[in-house]
Amino acid sequence: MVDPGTLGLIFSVTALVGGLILAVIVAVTKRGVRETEPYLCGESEADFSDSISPSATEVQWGLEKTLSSWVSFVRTKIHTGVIDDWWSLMIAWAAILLIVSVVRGWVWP
Amino acid sequence: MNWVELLLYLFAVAVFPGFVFLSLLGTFTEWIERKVAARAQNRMGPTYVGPMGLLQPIADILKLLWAKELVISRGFSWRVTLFLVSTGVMALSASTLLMPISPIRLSTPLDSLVLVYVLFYSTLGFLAIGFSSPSPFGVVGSSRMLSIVCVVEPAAAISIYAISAALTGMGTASVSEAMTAQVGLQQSPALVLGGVSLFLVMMAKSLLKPFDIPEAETEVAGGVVADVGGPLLGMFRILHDMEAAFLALLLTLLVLRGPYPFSYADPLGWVLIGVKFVLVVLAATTLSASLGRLRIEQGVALLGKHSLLASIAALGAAALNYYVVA
Repeated sequence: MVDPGTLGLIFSVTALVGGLILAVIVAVTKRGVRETEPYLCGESEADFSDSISPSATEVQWGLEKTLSSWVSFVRTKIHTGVIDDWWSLMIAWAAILLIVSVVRGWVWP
Repeated sequence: MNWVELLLYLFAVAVFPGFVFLSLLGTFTEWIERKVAARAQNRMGPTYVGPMGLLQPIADILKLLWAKELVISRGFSWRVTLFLVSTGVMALSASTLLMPISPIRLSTPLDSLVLVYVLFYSTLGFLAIGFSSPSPFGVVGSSRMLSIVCVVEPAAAISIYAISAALTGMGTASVSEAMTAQVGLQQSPALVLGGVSLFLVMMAKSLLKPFDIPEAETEVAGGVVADVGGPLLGMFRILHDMEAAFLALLLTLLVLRGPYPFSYADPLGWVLIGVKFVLVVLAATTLSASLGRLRIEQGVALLGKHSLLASIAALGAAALNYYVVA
């Protein structure tokens, strides 16, 4: 049986000395550092720095960038991905060819 | 104190029921908390490490402790903070020696006040993390915690003293003796009121849902550990889990009477302590999972209205029983 003051002292000394020991153990523990490659959203990021010439994909990208107005016209009017648009283009083109061949037959029989 | 007693004391502080036991119990408490919160939100909770994800909190903490603190900005005295947090951890470990489950028991008159004093070390550790951080978000978190502390610490002190005083007398008020004392009908009002107050204190000090604005990891405006990582965050998690487990254990042994109706000598009594402990944690976490986060002034008002008033009522009931009835 101890008195309350001594009990408080025992607990304080235990807390301070034990805390110091625990803090030193945690602070001086050697830690390994995991080094990872650069990544974006979990996917590894490709490194282009050592490629000598641009690839075909990159050339196409450059071309599309330069002719962007024409490319966007083609994509919005002709190659829209809708098959009806493609049929309309082909029929119109066939009609033009038909007219050209008929006109040529009249002029130079 | 001879050598055998000293070794027994060191064993009790370091292993059972001190640091090792309490930290394992703390990770178990965190596992229950995460599982209950996950079930409430239609998730599975931890499943990966150990059976039913039981070892997941340990794996999380070890990963943090083994991580290297890579970015430490100027003005962040993280070693001092680490020391203060570790002091809180060891203070909790030492105060388990007041419990009857310890092989060596330190019991004295008015040790309830010693327990209140020792419990403040862990609060100091929580506050130190935010206030020492150079980030304004951490400081905001700590000042919120300080507002909660201003209500919770008096409520904890009064309710622990009131329960101890009701069971062992106003002048003795030994929490250690109170855990093994006989309870009569005339002491039960103080026990029930103090228990309600202590339950809310446990939820607030464990940063469970309605009162977790100081931690508030999902808030934009930061929390205590907003800009902390690595070993310091790991130690914060250990302290947080140990405090939750300690207060649940205190509630189990002091208010729910531990092994009652069996005794500490009976193995069934120990099983019953485990069951009661799980029930306390389940009750707190279920309540936590079904409530939304309160703003700081709402939390302080709620704690003041229910926890502080209940503890004062418990003290009144204890005094009434001691001076008038008995």
